Amino acid sequence: MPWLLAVAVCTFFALFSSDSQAEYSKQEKSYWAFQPISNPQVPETKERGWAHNEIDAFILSSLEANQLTPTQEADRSTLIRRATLDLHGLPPTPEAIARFVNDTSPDAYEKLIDRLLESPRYGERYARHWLDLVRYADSDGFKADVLRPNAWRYRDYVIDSLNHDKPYSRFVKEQIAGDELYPNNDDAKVATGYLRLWPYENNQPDMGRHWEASLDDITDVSGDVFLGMSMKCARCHDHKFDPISQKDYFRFRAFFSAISPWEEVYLGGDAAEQDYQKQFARWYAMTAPIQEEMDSIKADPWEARRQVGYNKLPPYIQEMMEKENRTPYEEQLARFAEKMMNYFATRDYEKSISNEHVQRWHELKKQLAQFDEFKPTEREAVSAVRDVGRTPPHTLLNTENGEEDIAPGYLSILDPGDAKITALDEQIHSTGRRSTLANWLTDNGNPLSNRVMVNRLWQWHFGSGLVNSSNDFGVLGDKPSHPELLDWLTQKFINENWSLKSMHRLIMTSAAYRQGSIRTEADMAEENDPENRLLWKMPVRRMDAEQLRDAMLHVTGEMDLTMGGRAVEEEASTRRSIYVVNKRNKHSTMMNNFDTPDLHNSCHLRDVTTTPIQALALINGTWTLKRAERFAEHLGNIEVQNKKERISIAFQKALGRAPKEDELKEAQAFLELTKDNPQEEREAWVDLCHVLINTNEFIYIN
Amino acid sequence: MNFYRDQHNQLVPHMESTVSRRDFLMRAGGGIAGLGLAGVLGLDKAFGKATDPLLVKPGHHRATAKRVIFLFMEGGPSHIDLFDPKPLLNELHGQTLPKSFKEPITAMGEQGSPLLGSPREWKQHGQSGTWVSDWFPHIANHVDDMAVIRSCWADGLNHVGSVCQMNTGSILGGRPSLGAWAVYGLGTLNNDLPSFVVLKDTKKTPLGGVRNWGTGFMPATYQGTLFENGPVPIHNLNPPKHISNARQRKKLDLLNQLNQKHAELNQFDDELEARINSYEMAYRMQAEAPDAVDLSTESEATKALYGMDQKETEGFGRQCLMARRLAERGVRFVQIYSGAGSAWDTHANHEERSTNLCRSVDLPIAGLLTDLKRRGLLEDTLVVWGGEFGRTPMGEKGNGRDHNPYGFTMWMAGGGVHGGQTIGTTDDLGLYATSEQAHVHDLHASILHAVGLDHMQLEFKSGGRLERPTINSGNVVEKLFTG
Repeated sequence: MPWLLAVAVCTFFALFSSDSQAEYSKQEKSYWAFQPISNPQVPETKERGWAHNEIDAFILSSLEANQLTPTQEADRSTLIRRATLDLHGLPPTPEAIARFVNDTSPDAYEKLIDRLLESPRYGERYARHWLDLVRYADSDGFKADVLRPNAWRYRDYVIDSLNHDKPYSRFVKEQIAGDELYPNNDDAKVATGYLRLWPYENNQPDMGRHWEASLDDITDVSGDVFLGMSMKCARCHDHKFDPISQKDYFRFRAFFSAISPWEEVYLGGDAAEQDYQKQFARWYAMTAPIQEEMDSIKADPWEARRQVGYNKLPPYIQEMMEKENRTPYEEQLARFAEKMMNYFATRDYEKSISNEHVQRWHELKKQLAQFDEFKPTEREAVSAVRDVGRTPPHTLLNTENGEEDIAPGYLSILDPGDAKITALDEQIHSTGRRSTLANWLTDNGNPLSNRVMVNRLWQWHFGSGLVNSSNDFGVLGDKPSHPELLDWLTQKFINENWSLKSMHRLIMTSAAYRQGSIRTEADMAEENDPENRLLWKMPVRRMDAEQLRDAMLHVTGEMDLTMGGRAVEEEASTRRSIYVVNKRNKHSTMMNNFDTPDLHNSCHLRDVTTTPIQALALINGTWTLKRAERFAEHLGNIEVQNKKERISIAFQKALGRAPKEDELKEAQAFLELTKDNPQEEREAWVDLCHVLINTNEFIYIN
Repeated sequence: MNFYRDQHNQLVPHMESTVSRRDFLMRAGGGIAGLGLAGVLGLDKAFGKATDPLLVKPGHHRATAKRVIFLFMEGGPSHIDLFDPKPLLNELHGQTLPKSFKEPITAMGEQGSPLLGSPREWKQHGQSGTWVSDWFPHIANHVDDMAVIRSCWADGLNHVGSVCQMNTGSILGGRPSLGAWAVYGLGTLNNDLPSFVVLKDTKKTPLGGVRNWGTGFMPATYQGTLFENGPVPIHNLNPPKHISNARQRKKLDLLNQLNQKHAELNQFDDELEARINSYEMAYRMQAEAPDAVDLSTESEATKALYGMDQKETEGFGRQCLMARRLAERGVRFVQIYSGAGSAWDTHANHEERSTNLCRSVDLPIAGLLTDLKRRGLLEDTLVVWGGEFGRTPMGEKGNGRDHNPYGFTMWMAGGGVHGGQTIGTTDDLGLYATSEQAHVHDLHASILHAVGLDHMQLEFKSGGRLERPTINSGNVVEKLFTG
């Protein structure tokens, strides 16, 4: 059988895996990321007045050890802009700024963070970070790049989970094994959509090969996302740098190897299903003669179109289709083939209705449509996965001992034995492998998964993680800049029941986070730590594509804050960017120019490129120009005393601050040039607005 | 692979050291104000080592080519009707594939279809006697500059995967394209134009879309730019018509004023300065890019050389002439699609459709080779011709041919390629590559080799992986350069 073994594509390296029980070197065993999470003491610092919480003690002590001092706290308008763009992905409104700046209570900043965390805008922002990691897309990729009609449910699930501060442990369990652990829970049904995010080609007849590639993809991405370990290298050979053998790769892959895509999964539970069936029965009873006649016309063309798909299948798949008793693996491929055949049948059967029936067919369709008001609304379908049964397929690997069936297991350096598979309830037609993995990933003692997530949180707030390479805690990755802080935070995360919001609050209320980003005093900081790894200031960051688009729509007053549902088009819609369609074969849009991820790889950190193509999009692009026009209109509708005041509002909206005296003069001069011509004056306002949303101050976050 | 030792005395594979631009500025002592227009996207090249991602880099060994023009016949041209004559195919016309040939998996799933003979007239050409069919009478005149590789093979069976592989090395999406790797490895020779340009002769997009010239896990800095047909090749290149030059200039001036003040406040932030400069570069691109595609300064004779005076060849001729102009201006990697959207995919009416397609590219490609040669550009320009795969000797639907990734032909010319040779063979029906097989990874390794890059030394760290352009595989087809 072709392509059965992943090793088939690995032509360069040795084909035989060494024994995963091999001895590990002392160096490998003592590698930091594999050590148990320690319980470090909060360090003492010389300076006592700076710290707001324990984080600061860790940061300050390493600054002191390097003869560095932190930067003084940023001013309030900078803080609120930073925090709002961080948690909401939107700039603050002038009203919100005024409220915070004028709040004299000692905990004004803490209250601000609480307000921001309570808003649903938070989930819409932080979901993007997660969707990047899991390479979420609304389309299949490959040639046709077919839109996935139900993909958005997974996106909404992520937003909703974040807004409800679902414990991260539960969030992971639902995605890896929601169907096994919480079989009747709607959230969990949608969450298994995580296991459906791989690119798919409905026109690929070589199912075996496609399926292998898909399982590899799930394995690779899951290693990146949950373990912060680059498994991919070990697919073809023992990892060259990390203690991950090829066998370890297949042990990890075996957790997923029993799954199959499942479309017949609906939301609403038994009640909704019974209700649907009742309505359906009533509708069917009313229309039975029409439907029966239609069914009889449809039968042949449907079968003919399925046959077209069948004929494309290679003989080894056709053989599987003909079998009565299939192995689990054959069942997986047969399901795959069925999916393809039904896709073509659904799409094309009407074209195959013979001439003698075609007129009657359309008459019947019309007749049936007259009963549409009685037709039950479609059930809310989910793109889910389930295991193909209680018996897993083999996970085959070519080893020195011949072809070996690999049992699921964790990284051998952490646990060399086979994983003890959780026994599932008899009614659940599943292997239990994924719940076993999910439990291990969310175990208090897991040295990788917990640290990895805490490190991501840090990265999302500061722009880089305590471990810079947040998808790679391996030898080729970076060492933690503050290893004790990483462990302290990890313990805290577990103790706070994996609450993300608690961690956001803790990190954002630290003095470290509140530092200014501009160092006015001349000292050694730039020279001693040019990369700012020790965090002697807050780094300046460019908005990412979503922040930029959302910020523009926000300041122009156009933003539509409707939440959830099907994806929208980037240019036509004024909804938040999280709802913009993610097409794998996407085209060059404004957002793509600003480094949106490629939607095939797990993206742990966005690139920040600076290109003339971006400048062209911002200064010449019609979308941006339109925003400037809307911004000017929006300003024009605000009651003001004089032009100066209007300029001031424009600056406050766009930049979060009033213009300085010289800026005000420049802006006035810019507008003055056109004062006797209303048309030109209108244009000048548009241009001023356009300039403001092109400035570095708008695009960058201090 | 090169190694250095890190602070823990561990061997770590060598990568580009990322000296930050800020770091450099401080050491150079020039400060931000010292940067002129040439510092767009980074630093003036005269400053030497810096982190401008597009800075010219020396490569791994002496290059025989400075640039690449890749002529991509999308859909899969038929090698057995163009460069790989198979007399047995005509003898067995109408019969099924003999049992001695392994039945391949075909894309359309037709099993046991009869063999379809080739009605081409074949001749040996040039001093080398390279075989070319009557479908390419003009290209045939250049065989002594061409190395024809008859033994190419690929992994994909469907177009999108195969086009993706011919561009990125993998049938799955997510990897950088070959042009992106080249630009990453070598930098740009002209800051006012994109260093990787994609041209196409139809309104359709190559299957798989932008990822064919995308960067996958690498930053977008290295990506290809699709040139649109017409006088304005780059999207958003000019402001909309209703905005006058004076108005645009006034806006840019105010923007610059505000940005300079902001930069003074945020000194040491190199990225801010790069962004200010990117507007200047965009401004210069507005002049440079339309000039590069403005063919009005070309003589009628030159245009005729490319077939631009004939309806059938005008479209592809225009793209080929533009490719030459871009090559002259220092663009590293130009890719031209013929039949973008899979026109060469002749499942039915193979004879008629291929005749027209071949006619549309033959004279333009020959013209390009002639023009490059007479200008002295061919010696350091590598021209690559091919599709994502070839076609089957078995017929399909009676008069078509299905996909054949198991054995097909590509050719290369110029840029250090030893012309006048034919490399490798397929079996007697042209179904499988049988000797000196050249996988897509081998072809990519060879193209990179010509521009001075070693496919195993060219590395990019993504996640925790050291990624290489040919996925740790492939060998240079040495014969291409040694003859």
